Amino acid sequence: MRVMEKFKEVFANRHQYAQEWKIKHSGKVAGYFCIYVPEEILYAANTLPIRVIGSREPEDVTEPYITGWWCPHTRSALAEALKGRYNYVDGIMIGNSCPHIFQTFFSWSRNLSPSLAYDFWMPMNLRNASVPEYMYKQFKELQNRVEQWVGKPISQDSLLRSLATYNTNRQLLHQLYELRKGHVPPISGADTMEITLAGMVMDKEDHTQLLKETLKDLETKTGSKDPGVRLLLLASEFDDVEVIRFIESLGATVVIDEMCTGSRYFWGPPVSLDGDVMKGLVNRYVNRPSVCPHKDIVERYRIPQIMRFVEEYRVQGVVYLLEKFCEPHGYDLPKLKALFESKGLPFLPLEVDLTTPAGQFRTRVEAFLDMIREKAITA
Amino acid sequence: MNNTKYETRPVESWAKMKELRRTHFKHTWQAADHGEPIVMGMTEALLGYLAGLGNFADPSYGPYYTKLMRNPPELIKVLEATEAKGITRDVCSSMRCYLGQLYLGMSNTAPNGSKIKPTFLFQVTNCHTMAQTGNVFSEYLDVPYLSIDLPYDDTPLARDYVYQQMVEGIPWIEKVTGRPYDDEKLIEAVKYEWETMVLWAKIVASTRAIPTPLDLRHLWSLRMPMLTMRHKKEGVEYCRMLYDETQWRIKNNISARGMERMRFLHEGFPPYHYIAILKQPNEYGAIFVIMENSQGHGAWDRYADGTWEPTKTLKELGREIRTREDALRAEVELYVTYMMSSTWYPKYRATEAVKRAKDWHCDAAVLGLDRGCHGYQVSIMETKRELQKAGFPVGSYEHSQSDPREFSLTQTLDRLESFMESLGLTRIGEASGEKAEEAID
Repeated sequence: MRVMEKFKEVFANRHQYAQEWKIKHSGKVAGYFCIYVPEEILYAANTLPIRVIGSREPEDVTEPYITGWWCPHTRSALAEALKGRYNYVDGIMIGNSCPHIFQTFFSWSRNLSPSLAYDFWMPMNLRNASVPEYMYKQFKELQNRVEQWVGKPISQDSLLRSLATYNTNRQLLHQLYELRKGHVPPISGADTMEITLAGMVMDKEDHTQLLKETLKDLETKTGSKDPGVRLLLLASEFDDVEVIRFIESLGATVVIDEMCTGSRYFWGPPVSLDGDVMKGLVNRYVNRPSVCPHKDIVERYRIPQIMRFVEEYRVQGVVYLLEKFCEPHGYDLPKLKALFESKGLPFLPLEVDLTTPAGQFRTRVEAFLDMIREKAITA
Repeated sequence: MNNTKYETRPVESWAKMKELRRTHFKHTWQAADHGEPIVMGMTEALLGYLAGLGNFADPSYGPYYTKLMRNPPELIKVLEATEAKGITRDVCSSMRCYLGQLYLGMSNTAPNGSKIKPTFLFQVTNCHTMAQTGNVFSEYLDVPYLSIDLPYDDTPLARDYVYQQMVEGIPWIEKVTGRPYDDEKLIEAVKYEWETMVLWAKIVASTRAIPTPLDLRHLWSLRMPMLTMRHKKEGVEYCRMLYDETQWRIKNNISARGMERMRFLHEGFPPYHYIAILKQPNEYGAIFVIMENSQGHGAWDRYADGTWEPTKTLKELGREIRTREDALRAEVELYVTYMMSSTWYPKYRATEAVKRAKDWHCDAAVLGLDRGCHGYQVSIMETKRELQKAGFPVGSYEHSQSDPREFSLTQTLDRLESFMESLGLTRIGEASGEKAEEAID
């Protein structure tokens, strides 16, 4: 599928893509670390919002800034910045993310002096009654700061166009995920993740165009390969597509994921374009059905969403890729383990680091898949 | 190097602290008998807000935390109980200690074996692990959970947001406890809370004196009533007593440990299971005088150059608290404006640490690189670099605040001793026959 190659190419050459975008659009590039940053506002200001993602290469440049026990994802992101690979990024932004992301944001802003380093408080208890009004004011303030930064007000038309572009893109991603519900999904989990990740570093209009082509291809394609075991993938902030490809090569298909580099990034209804659109945007960020465990306090939304995925995608097993040192996800393990056990759903947590121990993973994943297959035969 | 020998004496308020600590735990187990609500959680903030309920018990997430820190073999069993449930070892070690108490049934079991049932859980969300621990407790014990989201930066918007949440929380509290919320009690408690927090800031500020009247090990334990009864009359009286004693010690040149050849700043939490680390420099006639966390329990005015000065009392501000709104807004201000330490917001930490080291007349700094707490590690290496740039020698040791399995005493002492020796310090008694003061525990 040639269009798939384009996603791969853009993601692999994302720094080059962003630099070319800057020249072509005479705009700025803003790096964000977590999906609670309302990138629609940045996009409306002729800025390319890009998710800051590391390289998964071993590195030795972050030691003066970060202690040894730190999440590999955020460490790698900082390493990329310190090595100058993100030199084209004009500004960076976070919305009260975990301490690890905060550290990367903080060291980046302190040592690389971007022209905008903006952080705002995204509540942890998102369902609190006071949150929508507070977030509305926060997003308005954020809009002001972005306007000052780009030196131009964001018009209502620009904001509407941005929201509409994001709505379309998210709707297409939903369609892509919908195809995976089928008995034989026409696309692998790894390819799907590559498409989603590419969307985080591309201009949404370019990404939408490629997505449309992809969906057109997939609609005419009948999945022929036995999907093997249907897996749900849970993960911390995880971006290593090759690990997913590796798992799938052992006789499985990731039919659905619940992670911020996957479904959580776009899941949820479109933003309302009627009336005060900022209210609609707040509604998206506050009420998205799929929630980071860091912001899933008191009323739990993440776990019911996971169980909906299990049912809708006819999941046979769950793999949880837990980044080393990731606290927010570490908390959900016992609850999920007990829940999956009660439903008779096999569950495999795997700890991941900057590099992957392929031999160990192979043994564990193969045994896990064998167990599920045996269960299916004896059922 | 200051080779002066000073007079030293035990801290007399120490006994009062221990008495208040006993009272606190006794009250925890007896509250239910008196029909008082039991509010579980790391209720170290907004105590005055909860006082609108009248008397309430506050067992934290598990009342045996300190006891376990003094008994590493038992502590390890509790940590293992958490891991057996599937919580990873990367999660905050203090929270793992609380979770282990939960899973072993200790959190709600009195020393005599009787059980208590929390009325509700209460947690501010400046620390995500505490907030997530609240989730686990709430689900495990089937107890309702109230969280107040506490932004880390002080803005009018943040203050209004916290205020709104507190207003909305009151009917919730009334519903789950079946008790009316008493504004008079709230007002009284907020006044006490403001008073104790200013007094605590003044006590900590006093340790800038040479010789320091109290050292960091003293402050570490003496702060305990700040965690549990800063909103009570007893809290004010205790802080006043301690403040007066501190002033008397300064006036009479009474030193914390008898010698302070060098004064050290400590950054990062120490290992709670080996708190004697805070006395380690005493063997070299040196002393830890300050760390940000000890300051953090007070109410401070913070300046752009990194200076912290105790803020004014309500009386000094000429501020009256007459209504629920007055009290809640004062409470918000205390925690968003005056108390919030840079613990969870690293933007100012490096600058403030350098200024702290200068204001407390420190000669060097030691970093506790704590694997157990991720939040407080944010920016610590940046802080190290700033301290070094400002000319302060910096040593460090690695540990986990509540997990003794991630701490090597021998290696740590080796590191610290090497650091002391690199500064030209020698062990007391080795060269001159001097004797270190008896450690006060």
